[in-house]
Amino acid sequence: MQHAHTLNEPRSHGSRDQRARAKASHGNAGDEAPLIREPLHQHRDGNDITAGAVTDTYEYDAFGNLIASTGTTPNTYLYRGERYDSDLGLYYLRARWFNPVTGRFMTRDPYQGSIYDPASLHRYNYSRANPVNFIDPSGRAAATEYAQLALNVAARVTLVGAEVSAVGCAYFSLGSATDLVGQNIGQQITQLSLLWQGCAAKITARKLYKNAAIGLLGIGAGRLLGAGIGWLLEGAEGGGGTGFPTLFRGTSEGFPGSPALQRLGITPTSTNPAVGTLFATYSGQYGNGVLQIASPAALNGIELTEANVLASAEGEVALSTTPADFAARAETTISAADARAILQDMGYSSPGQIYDLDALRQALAEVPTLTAEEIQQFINAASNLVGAP
Amino acid sequence: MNKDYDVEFGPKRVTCSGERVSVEGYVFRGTILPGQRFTFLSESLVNRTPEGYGPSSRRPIGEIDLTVESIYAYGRFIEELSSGVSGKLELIGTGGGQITPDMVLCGH
Repeated sequence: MQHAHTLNEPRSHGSRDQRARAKASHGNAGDEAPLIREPLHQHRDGNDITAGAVTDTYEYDAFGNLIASTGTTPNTYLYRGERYDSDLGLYYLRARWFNPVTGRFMTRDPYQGSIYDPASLHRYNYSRANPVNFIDPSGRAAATEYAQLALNVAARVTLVGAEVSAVGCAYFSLGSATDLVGQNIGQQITQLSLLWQGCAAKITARKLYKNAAIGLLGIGAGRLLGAGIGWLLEGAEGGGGTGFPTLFRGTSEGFPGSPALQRLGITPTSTNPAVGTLFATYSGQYGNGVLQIASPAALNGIELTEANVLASAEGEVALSTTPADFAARAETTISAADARAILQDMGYSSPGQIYDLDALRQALAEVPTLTAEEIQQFINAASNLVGAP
Repeated sequence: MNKDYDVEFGPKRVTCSGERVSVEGYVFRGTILPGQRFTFLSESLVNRTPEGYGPSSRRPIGEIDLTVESIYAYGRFIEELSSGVSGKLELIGTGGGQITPDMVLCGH
């Protein structure tokens, strides 16, 4: 997929939200249309911004590799307006450097990600490996997600007024929410204020009054959302350990893992006990089908590896360890039958027989997604079964 | 179960563009390596029972001729994909347009 932008018009690439922000940053219908990012170099070159003359164009692939360009204007701000270091071949995304050739960051994400979204747990991915629909201007994947959520909330609020310029306020809510993650709130309030002033300067006085209230609502929503998610994460993860949640692995007792995965040194697990229970049930035909449960503390020192292609459907988290190591670390191991019984008590039916992989594929397609509370309930019930602390 | 084929792959997601097909799914049988040919397409008929799922059966769809160009799993290109493991296959050949997520690619 190719994306294109010119130096003097809203970019056509990216998600709907990104396009909305681009439009907001350029104003509406040409009235108050200062350009925020791209025209910096045009100022230096003396081009007429307001005339809207296109001097340079760029086409990229989805990860920002330049495919084609026209024009000769010196410019280091390329894909998504981010600064490109041609010596390094990397984009500077603040917290980290991004390599468009590999589509990965050069260093790990300092944030651990969300347990409810396995794709976010991979610490080298750029934009959840989905750059068409996500952005990552901060170099912190989790921040991007929260910002995206905040943007959605803010956009929903601001669009009530049907003012195009209000989208600009949503844009600044995005930036604020991004910075709110893991940082000092007091400092952020100052930044929010500055950002808001920047936003307000771009809209008319008549719109300002209305949009100020709406935009602040959006900012507030973003802050509350970020705080809520942070609280949820902290509660679910026990506030420490490895940075990922309790994991479940359904297998047959003593199974060393498939040969291919043994060679890769990977053990697939799931954040969803219902998924693990399906694998345990299926594995029962090869031996004693069991569900192993390992807490973050038990998995201390193990690295995450990139989850597999169907990870989102299975809540899969791939660990850089062997199945034997995972089994040894698991605090709780229960039979497939017990796991099904626990789910049954919670109101979820899990098949007692899965004869082949065709059936497993079907069962996985229908598996319920448990809430954090339900997962904890499952863990408690399993622990009680085996008398674990 | 169709016992006539040594290698089977059950796609869950399919993307087809001309002779190139990308399938994400599970290896149902055997081990898949680059160069593996899939020559037949079946529909998977899952058999629900009171206990859960019994042996599945197959309904023949038709011949295909798709060869595995590459295998991608766990964030890297790998040389083989074992039974029960999920991954993405990049295929080239004919018949890819018929593949839907409830089918099975079969080969020797």
